Amino acid sequence: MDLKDFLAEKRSAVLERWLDYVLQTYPAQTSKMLRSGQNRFTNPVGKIISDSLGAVYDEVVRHLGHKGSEPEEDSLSGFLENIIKVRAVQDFTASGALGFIFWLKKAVREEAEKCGACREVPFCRQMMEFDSLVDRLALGAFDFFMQCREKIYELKAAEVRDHTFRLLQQANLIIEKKEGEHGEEH
Amino acid sequence: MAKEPIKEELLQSISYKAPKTFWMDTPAQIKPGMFCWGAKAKSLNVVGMPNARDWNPLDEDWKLPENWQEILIEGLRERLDKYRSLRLFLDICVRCGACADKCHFYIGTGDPKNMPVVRGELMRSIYRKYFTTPGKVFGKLAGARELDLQVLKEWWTYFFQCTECRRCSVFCPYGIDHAEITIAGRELLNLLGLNIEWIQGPVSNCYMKGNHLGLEPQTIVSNVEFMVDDIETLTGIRINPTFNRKGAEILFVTPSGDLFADPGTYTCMGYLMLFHELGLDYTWSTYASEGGNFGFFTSNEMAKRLNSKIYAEAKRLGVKWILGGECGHMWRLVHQYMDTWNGPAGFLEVPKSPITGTVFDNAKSTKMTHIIEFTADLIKHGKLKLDPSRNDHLKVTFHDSCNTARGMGVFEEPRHVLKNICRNFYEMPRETIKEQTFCCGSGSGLNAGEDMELRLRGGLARANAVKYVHDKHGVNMLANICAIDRASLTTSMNYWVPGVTVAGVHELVANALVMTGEKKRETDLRGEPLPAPEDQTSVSARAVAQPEGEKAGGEANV
Ligand code: SF4
Ligand code: SF4
Repeated sequence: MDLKDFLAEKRSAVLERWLDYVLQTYPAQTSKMLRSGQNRFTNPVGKIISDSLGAVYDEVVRHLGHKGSEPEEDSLSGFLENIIKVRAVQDFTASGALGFIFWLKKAVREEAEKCGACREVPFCRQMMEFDSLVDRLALGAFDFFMQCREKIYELKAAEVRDHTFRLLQQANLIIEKKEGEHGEEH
Repeated sequence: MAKEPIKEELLQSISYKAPKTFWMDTPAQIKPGMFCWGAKAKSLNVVGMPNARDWNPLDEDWKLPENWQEILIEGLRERLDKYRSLRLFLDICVRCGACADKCHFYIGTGDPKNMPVVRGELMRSIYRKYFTTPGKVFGKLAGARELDLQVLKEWWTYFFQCTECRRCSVFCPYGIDHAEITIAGRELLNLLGLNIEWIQGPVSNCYMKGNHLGLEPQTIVSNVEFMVDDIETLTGIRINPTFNRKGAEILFVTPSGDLFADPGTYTCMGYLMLFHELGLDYTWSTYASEGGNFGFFTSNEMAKRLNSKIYAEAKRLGVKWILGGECGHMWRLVHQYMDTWNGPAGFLEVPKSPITGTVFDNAKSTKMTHIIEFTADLIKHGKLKLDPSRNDHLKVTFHDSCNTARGMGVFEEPRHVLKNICRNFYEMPRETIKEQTFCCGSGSGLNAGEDMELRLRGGLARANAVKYVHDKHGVNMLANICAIDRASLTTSMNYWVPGVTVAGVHELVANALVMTGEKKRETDLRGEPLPAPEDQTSVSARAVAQPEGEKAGGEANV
């Protein structure tokens, strides 16, 4: 069986598995909540996770078997940005926040094993391509994760600046005046 | 390359599974990014709080008094007798779970102890153990537990992960308000000197100097003068506000953040321009120089002490009534507590707009009116000349602050104002506004720098709704009427929805306000160029039809 066809056919089963793995990183009650009801406003994390996984899945499938130039890492991992933004502020280490990407491989293999598809040679060959797409995805995701973390530090610094902007402005003025008056630096 | 082993290694090393233990058996973890530094000895001493010492929440030893359990239990007993609502809330929860997923902190952190019902259980389990027979007899079976150090640390962690926003109470069939439980919890923690410095520092500053940052009177005056200079550059009009002027009709009190922190400073310029245009007989006070009240996040007593300066100053200056700036928790206090604490202010008159003659009966007792009510009334009576096209570069949505919305029911006034001062206004989805509004994530004194991750998690639900209108309608301005929102939503937007800036409603009012004798405006209050003239004319024509009683044109005198 062609991997691409397989992925198209088993889309919901694989996604379900993958989602399960992701949700297992949350406490039991929470994963139930995240799965329940998909109101994007009252359950934003649940919705972001399931939407992101779906979008990434489709994107990986689209790139699969794509002849010619390799897909841009950026475009691939762009689909993960929403979910990574969330996990970057949640209670995870870098590997904890991003590990879920690799579980896509696991989910696909488990589903393939169920129907025996993985024992076919062409399928295995395609699987290698699939794996490397997922790896590329993870690399891009890692960069974005780092950007998010850096952003958090930037925000702290920006707040200090904005909170006291006028006061600093005044302080500068006072120094300027002093320098003018006394003609020397203090 | 040996792909398989690497992959297997990865799969093993990243098997992150969350703990499956029952909440009572899962100790709280105090983690960097998720908590605020402990109150310093000097800040606690200024206002005579107990157990003043420097301490670090990350240390094992919190330097507690020996009999801390006794202090806490007695403190709880006292409050159970004093606040019937607290006892009721501890008694009547049926653990139906309706509130569980309604808290922005639970939504953002996924931590079950941030479910309001569990937050309540933190205290309820102790209440059961020491105050109810089943709890005393059956212990854990009856949901009760001993008060030990682990429980205390859990209290501290999670009562400082609740912004007292009251969203949970809207969904509880019994109206159980976890904000009240948190308020009581923090009050009890304060008996042991366990406040956070981000709250205690402002409290002591406010007690000594009248405002959170401890701005001296001359600093306040020069900050306002700075704005006056900027207003002159923008409009060509020189404004002369007065300070501590006896005999003024109105005392104006606003959160001090408006005086020094961007973008609140633009809101403050807005007040100044509006009052000047109206020729309002008002004065600023350099003593009652803080509308906010971090005492409220400490204890009822402290809130009362800090609040009392507002009436004291009104009395000293001999004003008739008090007008208050855009603030959140300040208004919950005015609306729900001030009168009981420090009122009735018989020496003041019921606020009456000198421009429209409207009497604000809703403030009959407190004598203090929110500026958004005041301005909405001006617009309703067609007393302002407005050119909403000057806000055409903005696509605006409105964030209901928890305190003004759920705490006092202000829903329509800001919307009425916004719809008259700008022409691109988009509501966020129904389940995220008005009484169901989501907290900014940084309220109740949690807007520090060190707990940024907590704040970003807490702000996710609000930001998510902003992102929706940003993506759908191109919204680029998040208006609000709260000083903490102005600061904290700016940060939240920066992370979650870049491209959306934050402003107080009165900044946008001042953009649109056509002032007598002003020069042609080239920019908005922030120095951003106004929409190109040709756009402006075409939009102008559309615009002017909108507000009632408006004259066409809307163009400023040059
Ligand atoms: S909704 Fe009310 S009664 Fe139900 S669990 Fe929450 S607090 Fe208890
Ligand atoms: S008051 Fe707000 S922050 Fe506190 S538990 Fe309720 S919803 Fe959460």
